Amino acid sequence: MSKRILVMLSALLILSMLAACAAPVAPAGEQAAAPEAAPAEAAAGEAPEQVIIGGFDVGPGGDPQVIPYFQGAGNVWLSKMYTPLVMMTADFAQTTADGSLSESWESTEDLTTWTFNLRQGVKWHDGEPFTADDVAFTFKLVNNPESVTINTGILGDIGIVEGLKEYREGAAEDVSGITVVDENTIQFKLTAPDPRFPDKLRWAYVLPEHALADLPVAEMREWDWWTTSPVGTGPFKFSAYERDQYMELVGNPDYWDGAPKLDKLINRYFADETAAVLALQAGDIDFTYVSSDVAQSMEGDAAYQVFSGPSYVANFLVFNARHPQWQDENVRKAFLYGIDRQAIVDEIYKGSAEVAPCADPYNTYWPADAETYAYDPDMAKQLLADAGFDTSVEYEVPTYYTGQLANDVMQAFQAYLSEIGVKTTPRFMEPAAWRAIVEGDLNYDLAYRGMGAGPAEFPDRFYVPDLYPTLEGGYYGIDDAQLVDLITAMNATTNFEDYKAARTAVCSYMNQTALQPFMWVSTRYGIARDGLENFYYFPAPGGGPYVDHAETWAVAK
Amino acid sequence: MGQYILRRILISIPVLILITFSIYVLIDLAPGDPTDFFINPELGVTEENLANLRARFGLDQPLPVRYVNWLGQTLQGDLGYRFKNGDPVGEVLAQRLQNTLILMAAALFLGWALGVSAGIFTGLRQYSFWDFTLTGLSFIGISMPAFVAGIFGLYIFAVKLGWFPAGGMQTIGRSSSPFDLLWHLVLPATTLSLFYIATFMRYTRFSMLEVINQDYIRTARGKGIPERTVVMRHAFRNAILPVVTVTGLSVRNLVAGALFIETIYSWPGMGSLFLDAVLVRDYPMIMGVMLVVAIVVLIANLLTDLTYGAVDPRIRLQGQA
Repeated sequence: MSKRILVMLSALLILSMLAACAAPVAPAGEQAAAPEAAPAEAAAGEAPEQVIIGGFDVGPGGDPQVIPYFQGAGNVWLSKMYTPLVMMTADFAQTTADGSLSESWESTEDLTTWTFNLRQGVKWHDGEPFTADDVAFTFKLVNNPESVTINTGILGDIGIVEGLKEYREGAAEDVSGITVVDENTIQFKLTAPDPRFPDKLRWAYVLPEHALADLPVAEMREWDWWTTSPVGTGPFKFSAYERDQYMELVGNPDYWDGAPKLDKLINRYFADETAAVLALQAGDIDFTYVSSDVAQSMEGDAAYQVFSGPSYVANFLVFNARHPQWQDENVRKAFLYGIDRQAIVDEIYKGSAEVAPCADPYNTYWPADAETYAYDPDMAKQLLADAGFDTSVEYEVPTYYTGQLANDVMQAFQAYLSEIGVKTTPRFMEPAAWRAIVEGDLNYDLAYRGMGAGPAEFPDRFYVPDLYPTLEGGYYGIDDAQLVDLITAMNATTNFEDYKAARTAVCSYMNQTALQPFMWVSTRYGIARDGLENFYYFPAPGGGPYVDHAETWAVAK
Repeated sequence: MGQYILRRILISIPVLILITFSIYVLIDLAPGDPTDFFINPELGVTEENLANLRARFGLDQPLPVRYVNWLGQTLQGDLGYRFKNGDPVGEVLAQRLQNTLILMAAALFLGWALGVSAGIFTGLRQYSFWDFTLTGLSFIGISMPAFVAGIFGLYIFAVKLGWFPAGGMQTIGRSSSPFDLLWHLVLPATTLSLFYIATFMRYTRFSMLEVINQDYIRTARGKGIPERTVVMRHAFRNAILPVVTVTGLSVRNLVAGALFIETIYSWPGMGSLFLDAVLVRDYPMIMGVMLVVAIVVLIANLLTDLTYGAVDPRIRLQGQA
């Protein structure tokens, strides 16, 4: 009898295992795409297949990138398949036509009409020609109220295109401000002058009208098309997708900037950085995003090349300026003098961050004469005493950052502030819970956060109360007429020199008035194995696609 | 017996509804809503956009309405789409369940077979060299966190020795084959089975020790019954009840997955799916996972109770007499 039960139980386990094994591993739709990869399989004797496998979506940005216009950050991978109207240069300093679907752009003198001259002779991966109609179609698709893309956060405020507001609200059938001039020219008419309009289009991947026009707009996110037969205009075309495992692309021989040297480019998904790093060390993959401690441990190892760059996210403590104690400039300055920012950068970040003078993460716009607020706890104590700061109150400091680094940073804040008599407790929470406080009930005094920006896009809505009408008194409750004037002047500039000067003036004002305890801009890293040719990576996935000329990437050894 | 099973199944229906409703309410009680997760706090988003998203996902409706909508759809076999990325919940669940079943069944099978054998072996040799050694090892197996064992396994066998792949379910760039799958399965399944081997061994050993000193075992031996029969038919048969209970409890893991091992070995299973869904308040996905797990737990409990009766005839189930 006991034997029978044993056999019964074992059989149950084996059966479930077999049932699982017997089922097909790839869904039918995905297998259908497999034959396309066949030509790339080199026969014996031929040159070995050129393949790069990377963990391109590990780290910030995090999730597998499959569908454009539905990500808050991290869509650089998509630029291998789709192409935006405007690209960022490799160092992220400015916009460029290089690698983009525009050959050039110009505006009328009053900066209200922008004309984009599109690249000629570009073909979609399925052979159809790319035209200005595709661009107009894409803009209408992603702004269609039914498609509910998350595009505003990504595209910046392109709402200034004439008629777009009415179209988004469903009051108009068409966008009056978008005109297809001819096959290779498209024009945007704006409701107000905008000298930096092209910069706002840097995430605008163009999608094929011929393939998508008949699909239901309301189900845009659910279209099978994204994972079974997407076509773009990029250097690589879709080959296979295994949900939660990888996406495989093959070279597009008809790419307008030259056929790619690689046969295949594969993005493998990892839920965890350690797993990705071990896979890199085992030789299973060629590249992955890594955090600073891992990058530093591998720097100097000839077997790897390290790519690094600023995150373009400024980290800082924020005050809820609606509360009177934070309106005293001395109190705010005491926080800057009281926290040894350089020591935190040196010890906790191991040098992989740069102390920031203001909320602007671009050091291009940092004033040379910015006040450094070098660590001076005595001065901090004096300033607090002069301001009559109530040191009996204990403040919670909510943050949505997690992990060891955040832990160390928050503890350092607590220790430094306690030294000058300010009692704080770090509070780690999920982004949603953090938002419910800082962008919800406003029941906070201090908080710790990061904020991104673009080279031509300063996050002004956080500092101009009128731009954030949903929160009483603006985002942080900062109501500073002088700051608003400076920001308005910055937005009105029409050339880069003036813009740079004006944006630097904004930073300078924030720095002088110690508006918030600004901390640093950290560095982000990627690691590739040695032996890749022309491979390039810029680790600011929150910033949008940049020129990396992936068509020139190759495997040398 | 048939009546008993039918009654248990009928009771399960309100239980299932209660479970799903409680979970729905619990997710709703957590601060923030799913739309907050689509947007990176470092980028910011407009209120208008969030409002559009909320309306799209029906989050502007009151909770009871949302729950009834979900229940109605689910009863029609439509589990909806993930808030997070638009993936169809049913399809994702099917794929992840299959991955998890492969991993967990292999680990559980190894764990059960080796653990129970080792338990009987040591139970019969209390305080011997083997007893001390295996019991000591079992403590390590139980107390070593899965992610430590996972990283060790990966580092030694994939990075250093290069015997097995460093995670994943198949060799990328090549078409999948059962052999390739098995090759990828070895490390995660073995690592995961360490815990099960240790657990089953501890239970079996303890249970055997309880039984082996009973009078009826001495009597059986006294009657001259061969030792093998004494052990398997008289001792193990009586010792197996706690092992059945633990096995029944482990069946849940067949579908719930193992978060750490899945993460370390990049094995897309149910554990990591559930965590991912919870982190972004992905209602349709959370509800889908919970529904599957709840159904399996209810079935496993029923099967365990039925097995009790089969294993120990002294146990009579209600309505069976």
